[in-house]
Amino acid sequence: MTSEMTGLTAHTALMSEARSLLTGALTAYRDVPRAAQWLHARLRRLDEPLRIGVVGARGVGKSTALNAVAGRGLRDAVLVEVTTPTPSQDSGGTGWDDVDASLFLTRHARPADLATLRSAQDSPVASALPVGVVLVLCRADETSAGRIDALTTARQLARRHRRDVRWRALCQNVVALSGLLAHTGRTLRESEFADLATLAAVPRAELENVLLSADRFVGADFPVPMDPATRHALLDRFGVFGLRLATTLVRTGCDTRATLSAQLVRRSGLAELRETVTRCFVDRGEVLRARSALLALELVLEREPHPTAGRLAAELERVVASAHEVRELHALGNLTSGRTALSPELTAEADRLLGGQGTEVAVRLGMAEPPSPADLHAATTNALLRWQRQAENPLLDQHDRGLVATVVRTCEGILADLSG
Amino acid sequence: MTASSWLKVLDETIGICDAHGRPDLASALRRRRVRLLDPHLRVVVVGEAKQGKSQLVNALVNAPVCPVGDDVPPTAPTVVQHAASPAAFLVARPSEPGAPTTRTPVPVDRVARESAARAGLLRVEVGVPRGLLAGGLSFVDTPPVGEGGGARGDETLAALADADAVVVVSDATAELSPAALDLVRRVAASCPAVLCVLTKIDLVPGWRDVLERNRSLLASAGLAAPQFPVSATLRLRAADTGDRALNAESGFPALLCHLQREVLARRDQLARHVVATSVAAVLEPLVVRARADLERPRRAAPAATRLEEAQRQLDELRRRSTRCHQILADEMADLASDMDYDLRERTRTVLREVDRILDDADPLVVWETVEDWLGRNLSEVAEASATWLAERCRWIAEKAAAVLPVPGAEAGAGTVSALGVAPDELSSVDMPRIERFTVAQKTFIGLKSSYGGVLMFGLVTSLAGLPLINPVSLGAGAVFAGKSVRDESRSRLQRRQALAKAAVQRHVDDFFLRFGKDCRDAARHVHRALRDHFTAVAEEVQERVVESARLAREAATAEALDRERRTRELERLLTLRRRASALAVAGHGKPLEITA
Repeated sequence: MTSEMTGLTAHTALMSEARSLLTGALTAYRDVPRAAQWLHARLRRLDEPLRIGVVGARGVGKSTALNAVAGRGLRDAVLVEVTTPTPSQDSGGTGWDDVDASLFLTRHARPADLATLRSAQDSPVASALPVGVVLVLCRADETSAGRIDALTTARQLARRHRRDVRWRALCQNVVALSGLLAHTGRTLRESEFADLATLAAVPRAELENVLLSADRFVGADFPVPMDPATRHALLDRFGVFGLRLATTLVRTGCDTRATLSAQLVRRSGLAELRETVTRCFVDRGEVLRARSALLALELVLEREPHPTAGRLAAELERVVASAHEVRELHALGNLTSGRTALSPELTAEADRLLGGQGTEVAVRLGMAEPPSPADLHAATTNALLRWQRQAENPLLDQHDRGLVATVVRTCEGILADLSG
Repeated sequence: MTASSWLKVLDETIGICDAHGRPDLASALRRRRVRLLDPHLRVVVVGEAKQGKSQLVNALVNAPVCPVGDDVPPTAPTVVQHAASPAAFLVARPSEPGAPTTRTPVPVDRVARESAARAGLLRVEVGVPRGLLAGGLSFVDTPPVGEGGGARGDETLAALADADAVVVVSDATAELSPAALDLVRRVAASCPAVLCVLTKIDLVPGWRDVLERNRSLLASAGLAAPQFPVSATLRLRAADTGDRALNAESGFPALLCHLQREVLARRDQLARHVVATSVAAVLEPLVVRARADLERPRRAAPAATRLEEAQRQLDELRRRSTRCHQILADEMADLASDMDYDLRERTRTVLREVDRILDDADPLVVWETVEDWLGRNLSEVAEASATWLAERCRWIAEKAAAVLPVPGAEAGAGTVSALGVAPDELSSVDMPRIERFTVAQKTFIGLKSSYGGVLMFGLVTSLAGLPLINPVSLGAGAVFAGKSVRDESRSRLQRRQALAKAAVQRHVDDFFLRFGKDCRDAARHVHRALRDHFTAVAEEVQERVVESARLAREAATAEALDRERRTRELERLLTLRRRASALAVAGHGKPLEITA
């Protein structure tokens, strides 16, 4: 029971701070209708579900990705499609600042994307609380010119970007996704499975021949009788790579719609993306919502100077400086994406302590049975001492040292909560 | 049109670049000249990252010579050309500018991996035995553009500068991005043969829509680059299996056919296009500068205006100088007449005074005084006249100087003061010869007169009986004697006075004559001195003005010559540009890239 409460207080501290700050600002700005209206909307937003933006340039595959990610498992969150501005447009009205967290969709993760992300996080509050972006390398099925190992290569690419310092500073994780495969896999129909089975029955050399290009697949010369309209529909649903993969899967043992569907979804990278979304966004929804409330307040303070703005700004700065939850989230992002030189055991423990497995104190300390307060206290003290020693490890680089400091601070926080 | 026509235009442009002090442009053109005369024909493949550039080159030559895949994009261009046997070299960037490059041979089958792994490469050279390349064609795979890295952009730009034809690559998964469209535009400005290749058509069912959209995008951007949809995957597979139909499907035969027909077979026309575009690009800044040079003198004070100004100054100076001399002459004549009158007037006054004195006084008694007085008065007259003369001269000098507004003219007044008029030392008045009325003469005259009285009254009284000599007659004789003596002495006085007056008159006349002459001389001297002074001053200024006029005239002449030269130069540039643009349309009467 104590653990439940501790977890709760740890999470809602920032939220209640944000709420009281916004309420205070609302009082201060009640004579400025525009600002008041905006603050009121943000205050209401605090009680609404987390808004996750699916951000990307036009034609990058946002809708497909959104359709793939949305659905079960995303409780307490809504997905919003956001188009990034092209250089010719002005940045107004994109709605990117209207979401609490974003999945940034890009095909190749170019330097231009870095610039876009950087410009979206250039306010003092945003850079002090750098969480809320996951980079998605979408259209993974088009990697490597659609060879059968395209998805594996895409995952390797994602891993490399994850370790790249430039991306590391801007996003919590990098995930490769084939939106098309994920969506098709999730919504695979029996008729489609039957058609794929027909195709898989075609001798391999012949099938490969028609699967060489999209034109050939819908061409007149086809080894089995299949309606061209059906073939067009299949091509639209799967793409050339998807067809190659699906027929190979059917031939190598996926003999039911369900198994094929599961395989496609698994390989598309959707599961990993979902897990990332859940762990980085949904589980920390309150922190993220509080963060965007703080960002909104920062915007108001900057745009609408007011006599009481100075006091509010100081208050905001204090809250931001003490927002340990957000830093915990950031450290957790770094841990889960494998950007650390810590040993696997330490990494696992840090992940647990930071709340990667669950934010209750007992879970954080890795205690299965409901423990006694004394046990909890002893375990926390132990952990604290262990990590304090790690903090002095000269072999750690700057990033890892920051991570260890965050873990130490978490242990201190738990100890303080237990004592208080 | 023969090959020499474009070569002539090119050489002439190089000469002009050198003459205009633009060795940078000249050396760029020389490089181009070397390239154009080089039997190799370079087709440069450019595009954004991950569009399939390297795979396109690999498929073109049918060998994995360029690094492909999802690795870090290459940082150095790969040049693929013909060789009798496969060979590959990594050319490293020299450690310092000017140092010779080092070429490291690597096996052809490993070149892609090696070039991707190595940093600091200048380029990679690959030679493969291919019939396609044997005709002199070579392909250059460039690092992706738009990746932000400055060095990579430089490599691509350098490769583009040497391109005979440029292939802009974009993949079929999306229509041309604004950046890619901009790339086509920039490339088309410097290279006449630009083609757009749409890759990965095997993967994208809707590539025909993308092709159509790209076509309209290119058309609306005013770019006439032909498009070629290709699939490198199909081509490589076709090469593996020897499947001709598949090869045709890959779109490569059409692309190669275009390259052969449009690029290789029409080298001369291409060269003319390349020369036309590059010469136009080089001449443009020169024409702009030549035009600006021509415009500039119109804004600055031209030599012609300066010459005009000098002439005007000279005329004005002459006019004023004449006027100055005229004033001087007139005033001096006036001065002479005034001075004459003035001197006469003054001497007259002196004379009148002397006459008045001598009317009443006996020269015998007052001569000394009169002489003294006269000397003093005449000195005063001389002094006053001299002062007056000096004043008047100074005034004249100032008046004349005012007309002549050149520095130093007013110094003429100083000249006058220096000259001055000093009257000569006056000689003393000649004492008139005045006989004195002596006692003997008086006695003689008295006796002579008394004789008549005595005789007259003696006779009368003798009638009365008295003797001839009696008191009465004696008395009468005495009266007569007294009267005669008195009369005589009065007439003598009068004569003396007349003599004295005449003497004074003569003296004053002498004075007038001499002093008048002195004054006139002085005035003439002043006149002469002033005239000389003004002439000298005016001449000095005139010399200066004439000199500046001469300079201005020379400058004007030089300017006119220079202007003419510049006009001729501009004319030459424009002619050359016309000839260059004529190269582009000669023969076919239409730009090359529209074909296809």
